Amino acid sequence: MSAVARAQERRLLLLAVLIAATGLTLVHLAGGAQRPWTPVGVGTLAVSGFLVPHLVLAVRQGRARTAPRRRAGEGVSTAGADGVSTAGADGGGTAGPDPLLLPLAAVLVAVGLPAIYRLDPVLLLRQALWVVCGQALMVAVLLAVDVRAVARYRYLVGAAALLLLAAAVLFGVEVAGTRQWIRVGPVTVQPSETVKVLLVLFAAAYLSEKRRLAGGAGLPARFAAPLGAVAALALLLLLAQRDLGAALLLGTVALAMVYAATGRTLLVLAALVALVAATAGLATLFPHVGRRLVAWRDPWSDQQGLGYQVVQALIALGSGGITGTGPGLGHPDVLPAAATDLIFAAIGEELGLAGALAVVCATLLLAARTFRTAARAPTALEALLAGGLGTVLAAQAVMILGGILRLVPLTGLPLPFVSYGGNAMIVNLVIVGLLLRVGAAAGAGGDPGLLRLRARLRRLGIVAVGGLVTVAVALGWWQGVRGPALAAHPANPRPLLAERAVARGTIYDRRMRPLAVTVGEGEGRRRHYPSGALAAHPVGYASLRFGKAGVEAAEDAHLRGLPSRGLLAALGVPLPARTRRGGDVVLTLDLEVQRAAAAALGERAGAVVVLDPQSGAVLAAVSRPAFDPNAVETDLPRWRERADAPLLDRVAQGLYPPGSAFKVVTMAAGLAAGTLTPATTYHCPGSILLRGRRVTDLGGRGHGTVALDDALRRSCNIYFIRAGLVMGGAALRRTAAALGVGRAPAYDLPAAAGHLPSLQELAGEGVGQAAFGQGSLLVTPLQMALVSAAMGNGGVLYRPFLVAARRAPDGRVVWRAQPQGRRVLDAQTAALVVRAMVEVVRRGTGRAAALPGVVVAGKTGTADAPGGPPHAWFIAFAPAEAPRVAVAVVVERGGAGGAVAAPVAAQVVRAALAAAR
Amino acid sequence: MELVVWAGRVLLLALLYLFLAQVVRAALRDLRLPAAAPEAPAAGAEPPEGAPAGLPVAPPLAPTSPDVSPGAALLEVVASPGAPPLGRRYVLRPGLVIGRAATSDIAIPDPFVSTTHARCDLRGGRVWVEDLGSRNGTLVNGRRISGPVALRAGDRLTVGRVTFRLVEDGPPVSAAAV
Repeated sequence: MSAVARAQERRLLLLAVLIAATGLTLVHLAGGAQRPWTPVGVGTLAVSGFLVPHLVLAVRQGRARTAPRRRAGEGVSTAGADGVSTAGADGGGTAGPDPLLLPLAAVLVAVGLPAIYRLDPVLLLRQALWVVCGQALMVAVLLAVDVRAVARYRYLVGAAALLLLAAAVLFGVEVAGTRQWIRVGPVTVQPSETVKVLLVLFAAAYLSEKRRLAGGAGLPARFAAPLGAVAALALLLLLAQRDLGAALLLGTVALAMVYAATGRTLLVLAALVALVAATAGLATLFPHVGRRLVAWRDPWSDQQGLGYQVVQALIALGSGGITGTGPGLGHPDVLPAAATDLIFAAIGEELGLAGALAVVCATLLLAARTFRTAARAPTALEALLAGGLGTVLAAQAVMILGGILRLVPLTGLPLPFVSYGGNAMIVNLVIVGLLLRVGAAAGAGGDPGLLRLRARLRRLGIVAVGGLVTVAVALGWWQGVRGPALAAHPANPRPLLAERAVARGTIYDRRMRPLAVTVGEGEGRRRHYPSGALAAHPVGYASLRFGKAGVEAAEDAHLRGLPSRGLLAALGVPLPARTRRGGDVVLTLDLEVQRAAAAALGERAGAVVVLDPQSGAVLAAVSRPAFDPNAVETDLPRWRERADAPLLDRVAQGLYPPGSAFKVVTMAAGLAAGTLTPATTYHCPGSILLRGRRVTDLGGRGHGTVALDDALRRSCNIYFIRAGLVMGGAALRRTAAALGVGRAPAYDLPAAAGHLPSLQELAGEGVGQAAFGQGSLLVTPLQMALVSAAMGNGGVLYRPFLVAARRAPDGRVVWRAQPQGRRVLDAQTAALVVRAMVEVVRRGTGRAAALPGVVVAGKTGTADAPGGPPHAWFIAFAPAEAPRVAVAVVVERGGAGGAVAAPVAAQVVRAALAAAR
Repeated sequence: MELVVWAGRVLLLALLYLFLAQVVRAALRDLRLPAAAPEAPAAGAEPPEGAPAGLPVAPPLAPTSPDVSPGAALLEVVASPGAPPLGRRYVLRPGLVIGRAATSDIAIPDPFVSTTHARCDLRGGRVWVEDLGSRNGTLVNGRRISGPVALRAGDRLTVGRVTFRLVEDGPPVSAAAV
């Protein structure tokens, strides 16, 4: 038996200690560093305790090398009879305790402890205590227990097991519908755990003795009968306790051991059928058994009742996804029995599929090594004992994991070495001690029946491993494939908890006037919008039931305290739970301008948008009809039904034909293409046919012969139609596209692209329609404001933005918007357009937009739209020589642009300029 | 700080899988079968009980004898309840008989061994073993044989509670009787 193997065992144990320390530290950090570090230290120490039995094994091995011992009639000790060294180059060696059992148990404990700590530090301290007690008992077993000696007292052992169970039935305390526990002073003892080991000891001893008497061959069935009687008695007692899980487990173990000892496959299959039939029969006799079966078949149908545990466990796994939420950052505390039955779901949520799969793998390897130990045991007794104990561990794991993953009905069994529970932990550690004891005498066998026994044990091992592989596949299915669907399931309380955990930050206007605040505490916490419907569309709303809109949606991550930019956001790193308050957002909006714009528009449907042409900042964005975000929870469904669509943000998403307002684009396009100059003249007869439809000017009278500036000033349709036909579709499209028509502007809120007609649509006379803003052209008020801004800004267009800055909860500015502009038109063209637009307001159709003391430039639009009066448009900027504001107004079905929209624009411009001072 | 926590999560999972990888590697090493799997039809496909590959041949300490031919096939005791001792090697002679009788070429005083239990022959350059009607049967690599079976180096022959291993070209050792 090699020092290499023990060295590897030590390395693995140290790695397990490191894993425990890392896990515990992560949980500790997530909870906030104010708590004492005691639990982290205690947990790490508990896992390091596994080094003690390791040392015991190493010392004993060293002693055995120098003093070979041989016991007649039994297996061979580690040093061969003639001093033959069997030191192998491999890790396992031919003899000696399995060097992988201890580390595998240790790593399972190392993963379980942080999960328990995360749920309750008190539970962790207790669990660590149980681990240490178990390690102490394990050492005692290693030093003192001789399996063969104990086997001599097998009937005593069996009787003790039955007595313990009877005691639980008679003196037990009723807990959660079962009578598993006996109160002994300050502690509660769960006899069923100890009973499992005692019964396996009894069965192994009994079966091996009967084998020996039968000459070492397979055991006839009648010898198994007394064992069956004991097993049946134990089962009945367990059922009297209503410990269904333990009863099923015991049945499985008994069957496995009988199969291993006798090899009578038919007998075992018959017993299995009987077991299944009995369970079905029990389902009718005992209602709670039937309930479990129903919950297994369809937990979704009764998520609050029977299926609650399974549904919540699966949702927890789904919420974890592949990499998990991170230790301490999930919500496993909403799981029922999170520390005990469903600990695996808790681990799956916080460590993800990666972590959960690791647990399954470790358990699988533990089971495999246990059966390997059994298949190499020197005597039938030890082989049966190891096989029985291996079945106990493997079957328990398969039953609880399979129950969570809906492979089998859920029963309340602990996951070995992981679940919280002193009795189970101590007993499982004693099991490992016994297995190591078996290993200490393993060697090559000489009894021919033993070889067949070993083959059967190997087969059992394959079944156990197969069961756990099935579990792994099911885990991959539920957590990997169905994970996102599970996380989005309505029964998942996590999104609600995440929202409630953090106080949402405040949204301010540019002068730090609050537009959206979180008021109230705890359950009464809600979102309040002081300005009501005034800035409803830009600010938006945040409703758990109906979702989010506006800036509430666009800046949701920052408002909730999550990183929204940079490396952390890219990695998906959530901030630790310490964050209690989200960050604040400052908008470019000016509440005064917004108020003035809303007042100017009045009750009419339409939109007003005000920009700063030299930066792109949005100073006002009014969309009517609007809604009061304070009433979202109650009224939103009704708003959705209304035909006038109050929820639509008409500023960025309202699509209208631009009408004559588009002529500034046509003018710029012609100038840029060279087909238009200020001296170009066309004759306007008052009426022409365009694509079979009649287009009139001035009621049919016509403008006569006009040059460019005059044509714009008086908004002559026929002039621009002619100009369009001359420049052609390609030229018009080029300039229009450069100005952003037909493309969604890069904006903080969702913005529509509108429609810029294709070359086919503009072929022939089609371009004529587009030239005066009709045809299939569609634009949003935001796009028209940007056109206006670009003209006023000498041909440089700035990207529109609404969010000016982000602040941390302590007020620090963590991000500021940077204006982004680029040239879309050459300066001379823009200057010519500006000159003409000034005339529109001074002497033209836009007279109503004139203001005293400031030169306003603009363009009217009266856009024909089938089904009602035309839309009234006005775009403007001021002061014309160095614009500080650019405006677009559209009054839905308002009529003439000059009469209806221009006055609105005037009021807005005045207020905006006043506010800018 | 958040970056530290995130890095810690990655570290935790990495450590876990490093652990598992090492365990799997060690476990797979143990599963590797010995070099020679028997081809004879009667010999089973069942792999020999968990002995690892590459087990170095232990130098025996039994006294040497002059009447020995180098390069002979040998049977080495690898499992025994006591007698014959572990590591003892026997040279295979044609017609070698294994049994409980003291007159057997390899005498095994084990109640599970029949008086004349099995016979080994050298035929066609190969070692053949045949059961002589024993009560408990003769096993090759764990499988009970019914007719003559050819052995290859490394095969295990079990008679009663004693298991031999066929060794070829081993260092010369005496063939002890009784």
